[in-house]
Amino acid sequence: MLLLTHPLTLINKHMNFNNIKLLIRRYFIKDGFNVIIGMTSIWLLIIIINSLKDQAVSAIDLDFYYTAMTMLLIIGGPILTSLMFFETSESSKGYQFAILPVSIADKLFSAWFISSILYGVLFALYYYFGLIIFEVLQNMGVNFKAISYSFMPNELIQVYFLGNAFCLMGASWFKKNPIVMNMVFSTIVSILFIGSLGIIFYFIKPFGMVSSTTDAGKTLSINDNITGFTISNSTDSMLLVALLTGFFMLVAFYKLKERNI
Amino acid sequence: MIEINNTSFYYKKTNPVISNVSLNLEQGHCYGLLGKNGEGKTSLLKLMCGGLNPISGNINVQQQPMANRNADSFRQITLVPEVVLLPPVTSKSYLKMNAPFYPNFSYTNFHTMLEQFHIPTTGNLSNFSQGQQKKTAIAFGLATKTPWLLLDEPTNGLDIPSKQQFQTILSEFFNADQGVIISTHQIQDIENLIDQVLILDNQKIVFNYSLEEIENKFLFETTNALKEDAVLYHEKQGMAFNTLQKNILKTPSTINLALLFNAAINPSINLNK
Repeated sequence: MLLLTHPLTLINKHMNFNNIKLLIRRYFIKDGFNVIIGMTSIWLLIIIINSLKDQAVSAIDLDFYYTAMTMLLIIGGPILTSLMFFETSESSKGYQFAILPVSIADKLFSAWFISSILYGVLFALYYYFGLIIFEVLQNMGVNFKAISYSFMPNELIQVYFLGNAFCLMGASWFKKNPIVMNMVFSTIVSILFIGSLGIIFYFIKPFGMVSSTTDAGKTLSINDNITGFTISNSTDSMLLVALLTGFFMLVAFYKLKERNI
Repeated sequence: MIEINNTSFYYKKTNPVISNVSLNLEQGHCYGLLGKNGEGKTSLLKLMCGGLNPISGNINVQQQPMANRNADSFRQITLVPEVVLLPPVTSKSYLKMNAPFYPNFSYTNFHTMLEQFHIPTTGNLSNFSQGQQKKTAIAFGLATKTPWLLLDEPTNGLDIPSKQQFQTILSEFFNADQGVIISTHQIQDIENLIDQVLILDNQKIVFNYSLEEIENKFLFETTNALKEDAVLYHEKQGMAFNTLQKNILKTPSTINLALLFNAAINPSINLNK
């Protein structure tokens, strides 16, 4: 309990919402334009490819749009998160940010808010704007294929937040090449995690503690289909995600506190 | 006040940079931190501003432990590093990005300094020359009005007129309630600015005296006839000798910082006796 309350007390003591607001504003002045330009370009590319690729069959396949946009959320978010503290990789560039009169908790929270919440909101805007465009096209007489994509917002949001928290930990940890290092690190951790789960379930399955049924129609989520077992219900998986997110944020806090310029 | 207590630091365990340094620095002074290349001047400055965590010991600035790395500790001190690479924004945006974090930031001072340094107020900062970027960073550092300002090799990369402008600007905008530490190996650039000399050698502060103390303690003389027994240190210059002697008769003389520095880092001479 002490292990948990101590950092929480520290975070509470050192968090200042005015500083967080200023840090978010700082990020927008420095990188906001580039992020929006980058995201708009990718989104436009997805829309164009989606609209052109099925011209031969005269029907637009929205599955591609859903899949590509999901990738933009699940991959784009962590990439942005990985770069949140990249400024401090060189002291000549990052000294100003490193010694700004704000706390580590302020820096961490603002980075999380930008890369998880604001990026998520921006993504949602693009996503629904794309759907509006397709709706207009449909009204103009363009045909659409029946949608087979199973959109699982709960699982998607959980994976997104968990992935972002993990990458924020990596962003605090790795000064050089944070994107590559996060990819390598996440691959290793995933293999270890899935391997450990597999071993655990292999041993506890005979005792009837887990169900081995799989739902064929269900979209891939980190908890079930990978291992082939339904290990939890939605509340449990949310709790697991929340706990892991908290753990990653805690590690990120201490790594950022230790970080030298 | 900056209190450095038994502080040590290394990047690699086998190669210590700072070993067990203890030092107290008072506001209202302009300290010249002198040392050879690679002696750890930059590391010491980064330790003071909380950019580096000491391996052992602790550093307090205005009674704020820098190890906390919180808003209160960072509000006490600003650093301008030797090499400055500013982001691709205008100076106006740069101010919007960073100035609001400093409660006493003086926008007027910043603009006046930019004007004196002849820095354009429009254009992308990252497209400026290294000297211009450095001058912008110096102006920003001075305008923050933090109790302490650390300048790492501030005159490196500046042209001759800019070096003179730097001296003028620092004298003009340095307040008596502030403290400035200038790290350099170009002694002549800061001779007129500093009132306290710190010399870092072999991972330690080997010399820490005010100019007044130096004047009282040492006599700097150029002579043709060297009386070796009275001289603590000497260097030959042409046919004459620049000498450093004990100032027994309290004779006023002009301080030769280069000579003093060479004497202080000479292992066979102890100037602290």
